[in-house]
Amino acid sequence: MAAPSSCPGRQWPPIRPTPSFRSLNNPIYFGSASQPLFGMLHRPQGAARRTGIVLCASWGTEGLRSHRGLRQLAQTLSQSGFPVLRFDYRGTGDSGGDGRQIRLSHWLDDVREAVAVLRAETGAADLCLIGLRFGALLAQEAVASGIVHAQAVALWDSPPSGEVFVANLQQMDQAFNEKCAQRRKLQSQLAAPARDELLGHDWPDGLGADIGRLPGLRKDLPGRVIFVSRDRIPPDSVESIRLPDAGHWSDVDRIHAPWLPVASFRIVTERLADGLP
Amino acid sequence: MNERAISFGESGALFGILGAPEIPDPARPAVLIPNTGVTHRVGPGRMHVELARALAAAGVVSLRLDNAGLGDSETVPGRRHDTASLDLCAAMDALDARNISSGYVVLGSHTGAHDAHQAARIDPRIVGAVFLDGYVHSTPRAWLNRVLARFADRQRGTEGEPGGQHLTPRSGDALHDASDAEIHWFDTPTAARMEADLVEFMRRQLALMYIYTGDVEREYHYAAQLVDAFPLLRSYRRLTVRHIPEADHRYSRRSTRESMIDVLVDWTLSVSGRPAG
Repeated sequence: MAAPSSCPGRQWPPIRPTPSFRSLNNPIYFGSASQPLFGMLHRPQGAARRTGIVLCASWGTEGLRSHRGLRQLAQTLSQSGFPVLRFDYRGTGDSGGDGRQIRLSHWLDDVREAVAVLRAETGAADLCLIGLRFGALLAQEAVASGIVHAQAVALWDSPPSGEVFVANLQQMDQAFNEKCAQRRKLQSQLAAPARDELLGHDWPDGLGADIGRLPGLRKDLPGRVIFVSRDRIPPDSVESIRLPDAGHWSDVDRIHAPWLPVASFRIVTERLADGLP
Repeated sequence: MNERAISFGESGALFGILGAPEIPDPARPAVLIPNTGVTHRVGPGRMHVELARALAAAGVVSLRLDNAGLGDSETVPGRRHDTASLDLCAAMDALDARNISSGYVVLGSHTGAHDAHQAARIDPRIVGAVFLDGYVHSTPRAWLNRVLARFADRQRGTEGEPGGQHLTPRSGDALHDASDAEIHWFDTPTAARMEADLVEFMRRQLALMYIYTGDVEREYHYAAQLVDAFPLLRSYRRLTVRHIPEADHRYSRRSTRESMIDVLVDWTLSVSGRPAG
């Protein structure tokens, strides 16, 4: 269950509450005491809507690039009355766990835990998952497999399939390593990466295989499916939000550049606020 | 894992994760870890998280913080990228209120090294500082090495990128609408300014650790360059300099990252807290 801003089961000296920006953004730990998950709950401003939103982040370098952006998206959505939860998957970010031990099933469990916490903390009756890149594949899988029941899923720059996503990461890794090798002197080359790391992040064998098996965009999902992108919207999609900004996810020169498409955040928020109760 | 999310600074605008051992020792200094570039408090490849947890296991309190405008910290009106050291001062105020440490070690990588240096200049609570790929000043030998390196580049057909300290994006490179406060860079102080700062650090008996990786090999050419540039450091016993050409400042290889964490933990344990009174 959720514990406000400290790991479950720990004792800390009392602190003075800070009157603050934090009244609407609440850090929260949830899940097991041994591997707590860290999340940030953005409470709705003004009248709360009945739909709560869970943001499913992307993996690794993409997750780091988009951290501030997802925060901004969450704030924009909460200003429109949506309660929003963003969180770190097990073994990533501020959450507990060892990234070398992770399988996809752990992260699907984490999505379920996140949804449960959002509902418990905010009373949201309906649910929308917004998944960015890998997060879109994960959100789709969580809904398709019945792990969570969502009234809507928004798939932001979703890769065509897990296999394509993995291949893209591997190409980026190769390009990045070549770039580093070219830039460095012969006597100061980086060590070869271990088999279970990719782009400087944990990439255990089983995880890569799991993600590689995730299917492409599914049309049989229960509830509404909203494709969100500038240039990755399937022509036969029922609902879509066309964005002005590209993510440049395959550009090795932007591998560490922040992703902050503010105009796109406004458009997505307006569309969701029009369409979700 | 004994961690807690805290808000601090004016109006609670700043955010960080406090990590602590089961029983903190108030006689030890706490370690403050500011952002590396625009990456939020988890650090590149989650290095700050792994470091903080290793410190906790060794009995040391740490705070991984987001500077104003980065990660989960708010932008602070009037705050600029070159005043991020004030965020470290605010962090010390917050930890002082909890009375769980005696003095502080600031540990910054790249832009964080700049923040650490600036904070050490202005705040006497700091008893030690680690600078990972921080300021670099040239020497005649470095100049000669640079000329030779350029010649070697031409022979290899791999003209290097221009030197400088701008590995994080400038506004022109950042995507979309990143505001000035969300972009982070720094300028190296003049040699005279740096020497004056070092004199002050030595007068205060600060423990100093400088680590240079292959990412700055076009500026930092050999292990003793720092001491050659500032001969007053030669006799300073609280100085440690490491030159690790095979590493990068993101520590993107796990083997390098784990070795570095071991070095940093051992060094931190050797730093004494602030004398009482």
